[in-house]
Parts: sequence; structure tokens; C-alpha cells
Amino acid sequence: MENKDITVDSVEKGRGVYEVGFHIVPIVAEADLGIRVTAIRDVIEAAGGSMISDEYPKHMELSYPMTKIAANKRALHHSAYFGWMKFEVEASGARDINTKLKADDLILRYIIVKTVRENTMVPKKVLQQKRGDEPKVEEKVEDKPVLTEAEIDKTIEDLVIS
Amino acid sequence: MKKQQDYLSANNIKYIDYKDVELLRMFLTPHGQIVGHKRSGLGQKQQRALATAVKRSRFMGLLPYIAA
Repeated sequence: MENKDITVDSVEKGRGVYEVGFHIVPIVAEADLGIRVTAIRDVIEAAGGSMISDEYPKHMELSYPMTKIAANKRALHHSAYFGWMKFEVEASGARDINTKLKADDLILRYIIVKTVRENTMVPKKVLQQKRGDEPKVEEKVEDKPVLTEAEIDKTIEDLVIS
Repeated sequence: MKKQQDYLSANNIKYIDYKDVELLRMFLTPHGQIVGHKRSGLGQKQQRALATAVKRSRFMGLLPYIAA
């Protein structure tokens, strides 16, 4: 049998576009968010990633409370700062990023997904059209012939006679 | 007779993003369950992509697992 030179390393060499979405714990002051974002960016760049796009974390209410164990203490959070970063990196680099983000005590939860380079968010205009806000078709008002009084009288007389 | 297009194809949406909560909510019941392909009108591949996106969104707390 022919021995093919396909190894795990050779498969992993291809660079892929990834996205990391993260929740920063709400105990971080809004002024210090920049530091947390820079820390995550540094992790990505240290793993050989090149940034494509990102969104600065925004405060949001979570759909359900999440727990985070940090320094042997379990804390329940109802809100967080949610942000994301899209970048290009090798598969092995993505694994490093995963390990480092897992160890970060100030990240409540994160997700790394494979995605595409293009913007994937649907513009709001498209979504609004779906909700029955279909453009209204204006009814055409036909121009009726304007009759003078004499003409009206005449037509009435004709109708009465007939 | 012309075949009716699904919502994603009609609006040229090729990738369903887990962050796009407004889009995902269109395919959820008031209780937060993913609607079936008969109601969503999506094809098999798109329905699977929708399910993945909704599950990612739930994990990240953007959508509820169960809505009251």
C-alpha cells in the first residue's frame, strides 16, 4: 500500500477564517474594557492571527444567568459585555487561542467558530421587509371625465325618457 | 408554476450568523423552539445551518433555551 504523506501537521497548515465571540464579566469597569479587548487581541496576534474585523464589547442582558468560577468562587452573572473579533489563523493557532481564552478569569464565556471573510450580518432593512411591511401599492385613480351641469341634465333626461 | 423561494435565498443570505438574533428569531416559536422545515420553508442544508446558528446563539446567551 502506498504511504501517503498526509500527516496531521500538513492538514493543519491551511489558514482559516475564524471568529471569537466573548462575554466579559460585568464587574469590569467600562473604562477598563479597552484593556480586556487589547488582551484578547494580543492572544490572537501571538498565535499568528491577522485581524479582519471586530466589534467593541457592548453591555447586554443575558437570556439566562451564567455562572463563572474564578479563584475558586462561583459567581452568577445576569449581564455581560459582548464583543467579537474575526481573524485569519492556522488551525494550530486557533487551538492555542482556545486554551488561552479558557484560562482568562474575566471572560465569562466565549465561542470560536469557523466563518467566512465577508460580513455575515444581514442588514436591518432586509429584515424589516419580512414583517408584513410590504411596500404598499398605490391605487390608481382613474381620471373621470368632468361633465358640466348641462351635460349631466341631458344624460339624466335621456335616461328618464328611455 | 414558479417554485416559491425561501426567505434566505430570496434575500441572498448565504451565511447564517449566530449573532444575528433578529434573523434567527424569525425561525423560532414564541417558546424559543426552532421551527420545522415545513414552516421555515428552508432546504435541508439551510435548516441544518439554522439549527447550528441557533444553538451557538443559545450557548452565548443571545437567545433563550426556553422562553417563558
